[in-house]
Amino acid sequence: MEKELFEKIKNRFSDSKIELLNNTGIAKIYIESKDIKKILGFVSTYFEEKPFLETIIARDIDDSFSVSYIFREKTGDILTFETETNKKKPELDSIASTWPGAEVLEREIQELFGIVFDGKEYTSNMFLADQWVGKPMKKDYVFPEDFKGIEHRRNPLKKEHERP
Amino acid sequence: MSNQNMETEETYYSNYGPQGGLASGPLKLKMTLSGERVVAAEPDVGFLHRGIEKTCEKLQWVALPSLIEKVDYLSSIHGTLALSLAVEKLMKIEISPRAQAIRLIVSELNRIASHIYFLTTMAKACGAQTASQFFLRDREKINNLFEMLTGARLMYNYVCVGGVMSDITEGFIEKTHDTIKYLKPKLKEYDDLLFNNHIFTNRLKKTGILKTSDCISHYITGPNARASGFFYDVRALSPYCGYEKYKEFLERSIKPVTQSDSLDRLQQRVLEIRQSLEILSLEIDRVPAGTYKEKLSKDGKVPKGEAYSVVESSRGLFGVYVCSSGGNVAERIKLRTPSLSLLKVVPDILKGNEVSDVPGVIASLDISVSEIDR
Amino acid sequence: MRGKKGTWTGSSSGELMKNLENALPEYAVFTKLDDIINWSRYNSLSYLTLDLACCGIEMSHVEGSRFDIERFGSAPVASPRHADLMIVAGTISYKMAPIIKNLYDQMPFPKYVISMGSCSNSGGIFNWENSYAAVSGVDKIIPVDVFVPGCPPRPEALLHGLVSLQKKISKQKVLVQGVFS
Repeated sequence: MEKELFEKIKNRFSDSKIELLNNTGIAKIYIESKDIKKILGFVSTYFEEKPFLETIIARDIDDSFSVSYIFREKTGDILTFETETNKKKPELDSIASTWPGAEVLEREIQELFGIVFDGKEYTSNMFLADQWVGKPMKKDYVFPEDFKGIEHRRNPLKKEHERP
Repeated sequence: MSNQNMETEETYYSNYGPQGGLASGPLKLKMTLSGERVVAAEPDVGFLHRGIEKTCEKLQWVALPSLIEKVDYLSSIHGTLALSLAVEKLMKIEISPRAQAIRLIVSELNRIASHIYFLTTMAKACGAQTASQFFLRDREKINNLFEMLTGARLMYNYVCVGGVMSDITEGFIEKTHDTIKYLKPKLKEYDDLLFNNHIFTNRLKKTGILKTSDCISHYITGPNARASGFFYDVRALSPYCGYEKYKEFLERSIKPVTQSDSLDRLQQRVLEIRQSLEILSLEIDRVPAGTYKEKLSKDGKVPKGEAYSVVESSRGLFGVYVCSSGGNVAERIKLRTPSLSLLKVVPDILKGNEVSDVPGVIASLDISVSEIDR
Repeated sequence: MRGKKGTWTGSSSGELMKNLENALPEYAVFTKLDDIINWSRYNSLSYLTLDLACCGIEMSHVEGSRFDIERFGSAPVASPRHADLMIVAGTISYKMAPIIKNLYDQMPFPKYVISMGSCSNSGGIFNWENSYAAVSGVDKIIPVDVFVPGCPPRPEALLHGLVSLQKKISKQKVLVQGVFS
């Protein structure tokens, strides 16, 4: 199923770099980050019904972030697409106009990893507390010492709160 | 008098706070009201964010099932089953038929227990406090069964990589037969308590409408979608663990409707309790002989690679993605939970209802806040 | 009897003694009055449910008919202004911590706190080594009377914790405090 789709995409967009990888256990199609809107827009009209967007996964590899999109067709098979973006200025295009369920997933990735989708940065946090410093899911994140007066470590021999 | 209110259209702000609401967990709703009607409602989540995905990168592989259980604590068997199926794909192990049959029995028992707890919350939300005592009494019978098999009442720690942790104890099969014989006439008693009571049904009719087109465009699955006309069941579409024989039985519940209200979603879950009791009574008699757990190597390492597997939990499609780099500790684990897709649809469902209907609508959607926040 | 702000037994014995001085003779000592006040307090504790996570399921099983909590005189209430006891069940995150402090401040004196489960005792599996977003124990925010261990604790364990709190209340000194000091 993926081979057919891969041949069709390679014939239509012959000037972009597209590969089919199958060495880790999941078969995925690797595309460049500037071609996301073109290729995924083509995928949404290629089948009879639009495939469902299941999840968006972001990972921290050594020098870059890798983002995977998993789609599910009506018959029950899955399709996986993967892109990469660099760590100094992480930016990607958003697909929320075609699949409305992508908005919450992209907002979560922006809070926890720092990747900005469509140039739009949210001012208030959804999962983390207000005025949280740092992006927690990166590999080089250090746990905070204290947050607004509450100390993070716990010493079992020290009594914390006295009765008034 | 009501015409005068509509002409001025003054709106005010009110709070449905994180404590004391009737979702199972802290959920905050910021509501804009005009008179008694809800004009807009925006949900605020994050009060139970514990950082589970980052904690998975610090614990060893053996300790992971006890952490994934706490993501959706009412269906903890389904969470650990999804994790075990993904890791078994990486290690390339085959599971014996006896372990698969035991896993099927335990999943169906967990589904019945979760739906009975849903009925308790629903009865408390609409003021029927006597009915909630009857439902809690019946949930204790299923807790007794689990305690006989696994030793615990809520966090079972039973399904692991390679099979299950221990074999069926003696007396378990007879006690399951007794429980099924006890529960089947109780469903008629639930009808008398809930559905033949016109005071209860008039509170729920025509409130909280969910349409089929919304389910398809936002990918909402589970009993919410099956009550609205969008049939999506992982047990029928891509079966696992021995569900292949029940495909036509499960497809009998397809309904040709275009929308659902709170009463339809309540009736759908009582129908699913009935389906699960049928499947249990057929499976409990024919458990094949064999081993209950495969032998694994003792160093606790998982080979390098990626895998993704899905399971039908009591709220919808639950998926686990696993990435390993060949060591003792996982590299990345991502959870796909069914309640997260409901977040964008809740404002549309609540619009136009009255303030006194809001607890009933929120309880009928069966939102689990720990799934959204992780 | 209006008490001084901040004393947790709800009364300042110095003022009480001054009020009762003129009414009764000097050599009368009020030990039995303490017993009656404590007896009426521990037999009617209505609790505020802070039902955050998995331990909340076992807390709602306690209200059922198998493990009955109403035989001890307790019943759940929804508003903090009507409550004597707060049972904290579940993990506390940094976003939820100011709300719990707010709820504790809204309860009137005398008030007591039970901490239920590993996550609110000391952080549990989400403690300061493993997770970045959970507070390691609810006693960093409010003072606690009884700790009930377990993950989750059985309903019988929660009832044992309630009985221990009743024994602790029966030993309080309300009026006798100022006499022998």
